[in-house]
Amino acid sequence: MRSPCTKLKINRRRLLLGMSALATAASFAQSRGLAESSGPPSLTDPVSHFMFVSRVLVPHELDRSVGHRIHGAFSDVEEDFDNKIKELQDLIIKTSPVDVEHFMPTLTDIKQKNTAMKIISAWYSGVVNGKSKDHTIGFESSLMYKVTNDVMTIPSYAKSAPNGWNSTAVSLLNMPSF
Amino acid sequence: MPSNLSSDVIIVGTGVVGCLIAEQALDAGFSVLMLEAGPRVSRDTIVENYRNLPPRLRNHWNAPYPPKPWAPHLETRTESEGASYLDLIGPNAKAYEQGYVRYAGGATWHWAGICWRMTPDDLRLKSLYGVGRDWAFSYDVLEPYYARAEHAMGVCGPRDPALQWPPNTTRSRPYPMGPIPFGPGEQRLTDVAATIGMQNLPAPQARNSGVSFDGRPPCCGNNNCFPVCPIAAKYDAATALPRIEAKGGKIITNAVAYRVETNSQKKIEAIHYFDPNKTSHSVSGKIFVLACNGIETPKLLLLSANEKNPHGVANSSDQVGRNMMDQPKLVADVEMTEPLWTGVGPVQSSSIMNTSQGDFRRDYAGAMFRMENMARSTLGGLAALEKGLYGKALDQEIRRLSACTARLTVEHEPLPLSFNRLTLSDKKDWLGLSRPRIYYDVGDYVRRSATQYTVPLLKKLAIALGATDIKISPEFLHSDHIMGGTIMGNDPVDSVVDADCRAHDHDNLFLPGGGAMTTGGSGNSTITMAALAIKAADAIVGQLNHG
Repeated sequence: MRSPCTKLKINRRRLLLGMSALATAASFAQSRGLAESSGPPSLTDPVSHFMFVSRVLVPHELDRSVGHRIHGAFSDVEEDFDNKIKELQDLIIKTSPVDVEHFMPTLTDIKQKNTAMKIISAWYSGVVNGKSKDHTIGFESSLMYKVTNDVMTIPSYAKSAPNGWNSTAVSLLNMPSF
Repeated sequence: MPSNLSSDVIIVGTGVVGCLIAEQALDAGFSVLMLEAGPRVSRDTIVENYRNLPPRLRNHWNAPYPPKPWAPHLETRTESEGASYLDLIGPNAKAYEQGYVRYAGGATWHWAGICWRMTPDDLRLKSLYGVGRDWAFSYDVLEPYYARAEHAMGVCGPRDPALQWPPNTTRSRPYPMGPIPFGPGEQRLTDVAATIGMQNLPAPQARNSGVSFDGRPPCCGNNNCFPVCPIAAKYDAATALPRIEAKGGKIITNAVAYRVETNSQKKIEAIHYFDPNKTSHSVSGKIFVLACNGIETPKLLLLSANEKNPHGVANSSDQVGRNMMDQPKLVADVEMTEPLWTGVGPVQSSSIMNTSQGDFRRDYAGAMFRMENMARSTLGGLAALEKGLYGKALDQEIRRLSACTARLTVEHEPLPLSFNRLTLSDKKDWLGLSRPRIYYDVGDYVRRSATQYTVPLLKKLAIALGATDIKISPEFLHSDHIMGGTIMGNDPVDSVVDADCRAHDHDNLFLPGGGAMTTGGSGNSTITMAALAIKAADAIVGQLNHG
C-alpha cells in the first residue's frame, strides 16, 4: 500500500503539473505523466478541466472514462456546468491547495461548494441526480465500494473462488489504497 | 386469433411449485402445458437492470423487475407505485406488501434461498398449545418429501446433526452438499448469540456449496441472492424452464389466467387466459394445477365465480382467500463501535431457530431471529455522503458505517385467522380484472410475542453485539412468505384442499404451495411449499395412471 505521504506528493505534483499545463501551451510537452494518465488539460476540452478539478476534490485514482460519463451527465442536468467547473478550476489555480481538506474551506460561495460536493458524490455513488431522473454513471467503479472492497463484496461480483471466503474480521484502520 | 390447446397437465404459474410438478409429470410420461402471466427474461437482463439502478433503489428487490401492464405486481420504489396493485387494508396493511414478481420463474428469482423445515410441533399447534390448527398429517409424513425437495433444488446444509433443524428428528437423506462458510459478520453473531442462549445455526440453503449441482455453478459469494443471483448458484425456477422444455413441456408466457371453468360433474374443464392484446384463449386438460402463488391463486379462484360456483371455484367452504399468513417482521438497525463486517458470502446464511419452539406458544408466537448479511457499502456510502464529508473523513465514515452497522430481524410465526382475508377489489387492473384486496391484522398472538418476548430479546442480542444505537421498526413488516389462502385440512367444511393439495370440491384441481400451508411456522416457507408440491405431484401422477 502506498503511504499517505507518497499519495500527497503525487497529488501536489499532479496539481502543479495541471496548473502549469493550463498556464502555457508549452508546458503540455513537459507534463507527459499527467497527459498519459488523464489526457492533457487543453483549454478546449471540458472533460480535462473536469478531471483536473475532480483530482483535487477526490484523492484517489480516477478513471477518465468514468469522468467523461459524469461530466456528460452533469452537462445534461446542470445549467452552465462547464462555467461552474471553470470557476472551481480558477480557484484551485489561485489557492494551490495541497488537498481537498485544504481546498473545501476556501469555498465560501455556497453555489461553488454545492458543485464541488455534487462532483464528489458522483464519483463515490456512481449517480448524478437530475430533476426528473437519476443518471447512473457506473456501478463497480463507484468509489464507495472501493473503500470496503478489501472485505465486502461489491454486490453481484464474485467475492472469491467457491467457498473461498472466511470469517476473518480486519481492522477499520486498514484503509485500501485505490 | 383465439387458441385452444390441450395437455394432460395444465399448470398455472412457473415458480418452484409449478416447475417441480411439471418435471415430475413429464418424467412420468405425461404432457405438460404451463401458463405464465409475465414475461420470460434472461438472467443477464435482470443483472443489468440491477446494476443500472441508482444506488438508493438497489435495496428495492422488485426494482430490477419492471412489471408488464398485463401482469402487475407490487412495486415499492414510491408510495404511489406501492398502492398501484395490491389493495391493502387493515391495521397491519404494511405487513402484507408482498414482494413477488410475475415473471417466468416467479419469486424464486429474488428469494433468499433459505430452506428451514417446519418442526413436528409446528404441525400440531392446536393439539399441543390450543392455538391455530393442526395439519392434516404429521411431520413423519412430510419428512420424505422434504428430503426429495432438498435434492431437487440442491440444498446445502450442515452434516453435524447438532447443527441441523429441526432438532431431535431423523433425516431420511443427508443434504446433497455441505454448508457454506460464514463470513466475519455471521461468525460474530453466532459467537455472541451463544453467550445469551441463542443458537445461530448455519442455514440450509438452495445454493451450491463448493461444487456444481444440477448444471448450476457453485456459489462464489456474489452477495446478491436477492434481487438476483448473477451466476445461478442459487436455485431459481428459471433454470428449470429450459429443462422442462427439453423434456417436451410447453410454456406460454404473457398468458394471464382469469377464469377456471368447471363442468356439471364439478370437474375442471379449462383455464381461460388473456394475451397482451386482450384476446382470450383457453387450455384444456385432465389435471389442473394452480401454482401462481398465495395471492394470485385465491384471486383466480374468486374471479371464477359463476352460477355453478357462486362463491368462486373450490370455495364451498368459504375458506378461499381467508387465513392469509406471513411472518410479521420487525427489524432493528444497530450501530456498533467494533466492525462486524457483513457482506461476505450469501446475503443470508444463518438464523437463530431455537427461539421458535417452546411451551410459551400457548400464549404468544415463537420467532426466528437473524442478521441480514448483505454488503452495507451502498447504505454506508450514501449515508456518509449525506453528511457532507469529503477526503479522508469521507472514506473513514463510509468504512465505519459499512462495517459497524447491521440489521437484525425477527420473524414471528403467524396463526391462520379467518378475518385475514383476500377478496376482489372494486379497483381493476390493466386487463380489467379485479385487483386483490387484502385485509391484514397480525393478531394479538403476534403482538403479545413482540411485547413480552421478541423485542426484549432483540434488544438483548443487539446489546450483546456491542450496539451503541438501536432503532427498531415502528410497525410490523412483511417477510414475503405468502401462506394460507387455500388452506389444507381433512374436513371439507373448513378447508380448501386435502392432504395432497387436491381441492375438496374438484378432484382434478390441485392448489399446492404456500396457500395450502395450515400454519406458517417461523422459518422461510419455500422448502415446505416444495415438499407439498412433490407430494401433490405423486398424487397427480397416481391419478393420471389410474385414469
